[in-house]
Amino acid sequence: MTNNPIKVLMIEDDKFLCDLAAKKFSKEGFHVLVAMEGRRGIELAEKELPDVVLIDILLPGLDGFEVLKRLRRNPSFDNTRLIVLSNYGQAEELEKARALGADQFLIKADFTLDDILDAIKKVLASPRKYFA
Amino acid sequence: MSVPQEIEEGNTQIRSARLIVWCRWFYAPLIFLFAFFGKSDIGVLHALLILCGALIVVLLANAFFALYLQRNTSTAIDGKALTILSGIQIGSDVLFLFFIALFVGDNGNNVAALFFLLPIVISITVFDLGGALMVAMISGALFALSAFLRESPYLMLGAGDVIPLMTKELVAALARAGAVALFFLGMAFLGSRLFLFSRLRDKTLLEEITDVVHQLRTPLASIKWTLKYLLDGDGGGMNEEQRSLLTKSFALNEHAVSLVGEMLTIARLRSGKFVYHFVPVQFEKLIQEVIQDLLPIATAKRVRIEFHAPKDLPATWTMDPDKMRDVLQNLIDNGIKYSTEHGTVRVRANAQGRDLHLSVEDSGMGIPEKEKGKIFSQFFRAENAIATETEGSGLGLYIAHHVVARHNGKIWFESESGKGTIFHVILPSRQ
Repeated sequence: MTNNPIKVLMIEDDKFLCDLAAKKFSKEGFHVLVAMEGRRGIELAEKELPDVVLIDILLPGLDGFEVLKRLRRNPSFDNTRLIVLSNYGQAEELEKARALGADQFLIKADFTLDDILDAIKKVLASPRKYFA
Repeated sequence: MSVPQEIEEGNTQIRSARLIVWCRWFYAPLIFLFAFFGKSDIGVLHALLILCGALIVVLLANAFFALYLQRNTSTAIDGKALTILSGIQIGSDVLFLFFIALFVGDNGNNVAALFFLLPIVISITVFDLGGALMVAMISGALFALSAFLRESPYLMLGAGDVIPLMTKELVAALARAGAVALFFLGMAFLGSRLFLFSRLRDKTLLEEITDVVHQLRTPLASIKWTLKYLLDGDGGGMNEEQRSLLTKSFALNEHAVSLVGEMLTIARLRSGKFVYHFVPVQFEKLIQEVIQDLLPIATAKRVRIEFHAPKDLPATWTMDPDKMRDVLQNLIDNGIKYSTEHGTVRVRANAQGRDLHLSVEDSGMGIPEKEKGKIFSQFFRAENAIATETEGSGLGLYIAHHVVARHNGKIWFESESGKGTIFHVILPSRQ
């Protein structure tokens, strides 16, 4: 179908989850990049221009929302899907993520890695909605 | 019967209302007896008749309260009705005590004054500071009135003499009554403050616990991902026994995740952070989505789900879609869970006047008579429910009640042991 594998950047500070996700996504044929900290994540994103970025809210240093904001601000990422991962899932978080331009908001405890794979494919299949 | 800690939720209110009604069977006659032996010798027969009358009225009122609270076990009584009921109870107590104070003189009169602390304390737990102060003021006013009537010749003559004699005794009695009234106000104020302080402590405790519960989600999520990874074979092959154990672990972990979710919902509910967004919703679509989501579970149990709705139903209804989705999910899931195999769960929607009426009927075990009153309580699960399906936290209906109440609706059930249960939800139209 495509020779260009889907490039996924995961910004997550939990090494265990990172490794697990990386293994899973690689098996699916994705090209996986990992950053365990906000600033590094942004650097990596700017360098590699991934198709999808998974951002954990709870990050040391720059928090997930800040990363989301900075990526969205950058026009190079206008077509990049930004998916926020959280363990809390409060309505206020969801609102904030949406307002900052996230394409999806997933609560880790409610989704398996398969579900996240499906979510990634689904969000890539539909065009991005642009908000002013 | 335990003393309630919080005020907000209907079931705690019902429990405290029942407690007060129960206590009244004791304290009303006791106070009456006190007055009977301690009454002043002013027109003895007169006084006795009035006191007896007052006691009978209070006991009759109490019987009415008891019946009202009893009758409504299968409906979740809404908070407003309960608050009004509490107000009437307090009012009847205060009136009763007025008559007591009227007829008990001298030293006994001091005790009669202290009795007013009963309704004041009750009002502190039921109302806020303003309500408690109002009850204190009314008590003070009525006590002053009783002092006036006692000391003035009115009572003695029983005649409609226009000019009250401002005797020294009367002035002294009124001054004393004024002091008592101030005492009531002070107690109401102090009591409310203390009560609020203890509630604030509870609130902080709640926040601390919520924080930890939130953090529980992290390891649970990791476990979930790991187990699924292994089950998918991504960690290598495994034998039947390993697969079976891991599958069971996964299911148990899912249960833990949903429990955490429910705990957090309860915490948000109690801390008043449950935010509702009322929008027009295509509810038929919503119901069908919920049914779709639950279809796998139903099929596994060979239970059919049917949805009936007349064609002329309005297209949309104003409600909070996420919360109502949870309610429907809970009701239909319960219907499936407690249905017999090859049973049917029927979901119906129709418009009744200006209300939307939804119902979920199952052909299951039914709810035993003695447990019907507790169905909407937090964490409650009827014995036969626990016997059939050990996994279930009992929180769902509690949350459902709260959500429906917030929609100004009603939720109730009809059930016959061994035959099945129907849950009804009425949502009035919101303009």
